[in-house]
Amino acid sequence: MVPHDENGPGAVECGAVEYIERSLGDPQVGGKEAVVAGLEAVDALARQAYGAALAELGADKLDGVVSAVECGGGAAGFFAMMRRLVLEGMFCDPSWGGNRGYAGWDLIRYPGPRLAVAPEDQQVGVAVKPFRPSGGSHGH
Amino acid sequence: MAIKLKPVDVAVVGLGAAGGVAVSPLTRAGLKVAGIEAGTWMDPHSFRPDEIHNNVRGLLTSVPKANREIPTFRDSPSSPTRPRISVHPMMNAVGGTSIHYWGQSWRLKAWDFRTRSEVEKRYGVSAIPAGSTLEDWPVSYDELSLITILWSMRLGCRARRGIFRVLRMHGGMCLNRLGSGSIRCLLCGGRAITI
Repeated sequence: MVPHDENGPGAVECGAVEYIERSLGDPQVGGKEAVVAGLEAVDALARQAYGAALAELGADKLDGVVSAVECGGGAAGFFAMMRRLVLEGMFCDPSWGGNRGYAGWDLIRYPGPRLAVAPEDQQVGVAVKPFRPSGGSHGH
Repeated sequence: MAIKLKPVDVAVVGLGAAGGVAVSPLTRAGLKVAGIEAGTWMDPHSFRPDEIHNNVRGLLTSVPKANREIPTFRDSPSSPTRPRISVHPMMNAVGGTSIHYWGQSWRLKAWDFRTRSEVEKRYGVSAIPAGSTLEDWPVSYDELSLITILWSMRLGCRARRGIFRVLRMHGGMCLNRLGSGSIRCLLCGGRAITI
């Protein structure tokens, strides 16, 4: 959904897969059934269009299936749900499993969350110093 | 096994926006007060700037107890009941949902207490759909005006835009738009500090 390109790393390099796996593996979060049902519907779409399982398709045909799903093919709402999960995995705090090595935040030049911003960080044309406490241990 | 505690003058059940605030005048009047709260004490680490934690999963606010207690929703009388619209901002904690309220304390007008009567007077009885549950409040603005003013003063409300301050509340933090002067947290007495 978000491939590596000239702008930088894609969703996989940013750790979105691990984020999604952890998210779906957490019974408090849920959503696993909807993802499995959506994947089954997309697999059926691949078999119908190309006569092969989704996992066996090459990159070109895979792109075709993704485009079809984006336009409403397969399970309803599946593309939007996966897109949301992918973006969460790219840009979340790394403690959730995604945004590996802050690759997602570096991609969009996001320095990190902070409650107060010092005057020196508000100068025009000056890059803001990264503020990246280790995952999940935000202090004030 | 039940533990018998020392008797007190008043036991306040639930230390949220109502019970938590009620403790203050009771203790100031010299009464012994015990507060009973199902939720926990929040500390600064509860309020981490993390969208997955707060917004996506709702872990700060949508604790299981709040989710069982909040009102359920239906789109129409015949549609199935849903437990909640999305992540619900209700909290179980000392301070309740007031911990993360937006620091806006709107003053109700006299009209707001008599919504049905005033709508009927202005637009006619037919303006309210049949079966509407709209009712006037059982109390009037005048009956509540003194306590409303006292509340506004304690909270530091002002009508015009003021400076932003951080109000330290029972170990947590609460952004509040407050006027000048010495402001103290209603619940813990913590002093407001300017950032």
